[in-house]
Amino acid sequence: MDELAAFVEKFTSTGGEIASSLSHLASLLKGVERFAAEKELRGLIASSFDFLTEVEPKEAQVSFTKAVCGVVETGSLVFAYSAEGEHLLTALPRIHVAFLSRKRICPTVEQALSSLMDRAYVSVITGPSKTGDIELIHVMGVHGPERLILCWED
Amino acid sequence: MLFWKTPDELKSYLENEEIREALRRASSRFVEGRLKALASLGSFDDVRKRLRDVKEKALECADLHWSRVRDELSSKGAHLVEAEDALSADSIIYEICERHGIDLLIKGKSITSEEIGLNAFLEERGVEVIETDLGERIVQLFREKPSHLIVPAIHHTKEEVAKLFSRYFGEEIPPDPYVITKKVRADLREKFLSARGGMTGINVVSSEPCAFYLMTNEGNGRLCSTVPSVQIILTGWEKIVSSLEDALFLLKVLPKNSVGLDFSSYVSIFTAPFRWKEREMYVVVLDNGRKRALEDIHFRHALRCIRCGACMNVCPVYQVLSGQGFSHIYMGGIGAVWTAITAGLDEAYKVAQLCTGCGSCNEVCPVEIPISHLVSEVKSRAEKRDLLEDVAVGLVLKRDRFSSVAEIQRLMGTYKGEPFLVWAKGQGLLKDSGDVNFYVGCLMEQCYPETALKAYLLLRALGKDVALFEEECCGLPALAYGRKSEFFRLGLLNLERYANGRKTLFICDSCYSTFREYLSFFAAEKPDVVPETLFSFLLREGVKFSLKEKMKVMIHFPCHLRAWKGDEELERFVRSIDNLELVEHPTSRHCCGGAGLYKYKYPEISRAIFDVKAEAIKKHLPQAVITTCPSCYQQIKEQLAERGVDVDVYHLVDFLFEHGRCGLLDSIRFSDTKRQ
Ligand code: SF4
Ligand code: SF4
Repeated sequence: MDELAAFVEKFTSTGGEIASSLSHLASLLKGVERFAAEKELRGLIASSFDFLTEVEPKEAQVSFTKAVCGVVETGSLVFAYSAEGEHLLTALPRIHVAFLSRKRICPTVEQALSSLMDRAYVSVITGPSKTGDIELIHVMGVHGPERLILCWED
Repeated sequence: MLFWKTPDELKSYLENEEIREALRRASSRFVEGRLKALASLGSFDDVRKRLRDVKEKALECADLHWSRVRDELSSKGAHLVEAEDALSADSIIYEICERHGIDLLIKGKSITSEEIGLNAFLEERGVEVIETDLGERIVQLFREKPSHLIVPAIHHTKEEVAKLFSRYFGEEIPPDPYVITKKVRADLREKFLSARGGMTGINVVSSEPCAFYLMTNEGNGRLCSTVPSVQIILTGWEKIVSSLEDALFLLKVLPKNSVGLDFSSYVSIFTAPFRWKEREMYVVVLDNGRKRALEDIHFRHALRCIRCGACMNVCPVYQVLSGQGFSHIYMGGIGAVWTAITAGLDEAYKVAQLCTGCGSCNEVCPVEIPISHLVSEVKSRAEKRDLLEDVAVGLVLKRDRFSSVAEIQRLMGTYKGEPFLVWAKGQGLLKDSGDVNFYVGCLMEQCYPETALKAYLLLRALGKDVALFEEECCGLPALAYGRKSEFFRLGLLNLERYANGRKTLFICDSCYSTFREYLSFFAAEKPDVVPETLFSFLLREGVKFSLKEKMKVMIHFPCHLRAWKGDEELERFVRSIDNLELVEHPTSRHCCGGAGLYKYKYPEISRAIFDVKAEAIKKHLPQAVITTCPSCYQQIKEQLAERGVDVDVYHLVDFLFEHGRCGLLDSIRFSDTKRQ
């Protein structure tokens, strides 16, 4: 299995979803109205999904961000934040859509992080937010997103 | 028996069947998941060696690492403050709150903050504290202690939780975990956005690069750390490792070993205040006895703990008492040791006493902490000891006729007459030459002399010349109840006596394990002591048994045998018996709750521990339950009788004599086993 396929398998096994195209993504976002996005993505989102309106991160139902890389070993996405408020995008909304280039797949977490350790805050995100705190029953979306969707950039 | 009483507050933990069931469910889910998840890392033995090494190396120069971290943080505008004890940590955090006008502090799960009693300290001074982990929030609103390290509110049903939140929100909340979770999400979201201060613990810190790694599944930790303008990290001094690789290795092992999760949903890594001007970042490093523990040849091992909770998931006592009953603040056996380090021996001893010494915890620890040994160490250091226990242990340790375990057993009606070795002496059978040594052990010798005789005759029938001695106690009670000097005295004495290059054979796994234990202390000096169980010996000698007729049998592997991996050979021996259908069951390897004096001291806990075994036996209804340790044998027999379960229980020797067929057995005249 090549790295990309291995990553996809692991990513989906952690509860992540994959959107194969923008139109597929649009269908996954049915019923959603308010979005927030990283600066670079705003134009793309506004033009591709005309049913969405941009709002503040804390008001948003869905967020659009760019991941630095994907990790095969754990099926994680890695995010490093530079602009103010960016970190809230991966944390607050109910649905988190991350864009990632197919070229940015790393075999291990170590490799993914080694060039990022000069950043003040990095997060490694693996699947949606979850808990089993009440009777061990799985519930997604406690304080973070209940859905994590990956959309290929290229 | 006659003297001890399980304290009432402990009994109350045993009464609620629903809670016990929930705890069992959690434990079995985590235990099963653990093995599956760990498989991806290769052999567990290699994993734990490596992680132990990572922690040990870092602890050796922890101060150096921390001074590096301090410099690095201060160059980036963050603050590192060291706290010598609980009170100073509390005060430091309160001062931070005052300085920045924090009247609401939101918190991620942090057992270190419980260690210092932070919530109460801040609340008394007018700072509101809100727990944000769902389980911790539930426990906080109920004003209770967590019952489980990973699932703090496991002791509540969804109906109870729904009622709690219906009261809290002033509206009807249905008993649906999804709905409850979303309500709590919305409620806490407002707190996250309005609080000025957020505090979390930390899973691991690396010194080069200087970084703090926080793991959560719910995503609350990262909100606590990043939404409010003041970030406070409270960490124990022992949480440091050297490198990124080391930290990540720990983060990969932790969730797998803990709950069978491959990797946590969120690993947040902080290296500096991430919005330079407006944000403040404080790191409070807590000593509170840790540095002193590093100087302690025993307790230093505990500093490696990564708080994965695996040792608790397999602990029979934790499974019936929960983390509420079996804890001071830190839970389980390792909790007793951490209590000794951070709160003193008196509190620690109360927790340590509850441990049966089964050693199940040691097997799953990812940093090779000899947990059960450290618990014994706590017992041996405590000053305010249980007087009654001391007297009883004193009696058990003696092996003369008038003050011995036999006397205690006589009181209880399990004593069967003349001890085997007394009889053997009368027959002139004691001698120190032969092919093998036979160590009978006090319970076998005094309470089950006929079984001892059968084993002896079996060896003779096998053509072995058997060396028999007047025995001293193996010393296990001394070890288990914290009389170390007595243990060493007996150990040296026994090693001396059996150091003749011959195999020393056992029919009691407790004695066997104790001999193995001495060897782990003195192996280099005593290479010619060779302990082996009778059944491993028979297996190696190629003795083949079959049953007179087909029988369905369950087995109980004594914990003491398991601790030395002897269960595998015992299983092979039993499987080699023709006509025997072995019913496999996970509970075959669970502690029976007997544990020597334990069942007299805490009868209710002991009974509760046996429950899972009883269920399994009732379900499969085998024709016999067999075991190889007299203490387990007694416990199983008594517990089954008490529950009215009509299944025969045997020591394996007796089972072979009653149901087995083998040329050897035929050569033993039945009358030989009937002594005058
Ligand atoms: S030795 Fe057994 S009873 Fe004691 S802490 Fe370990 S698992 Fe629990
Ligand atoms: S003692 Fe070992 S198994 Fe128990 S919590 Fe600590 S690291 Fe985990």
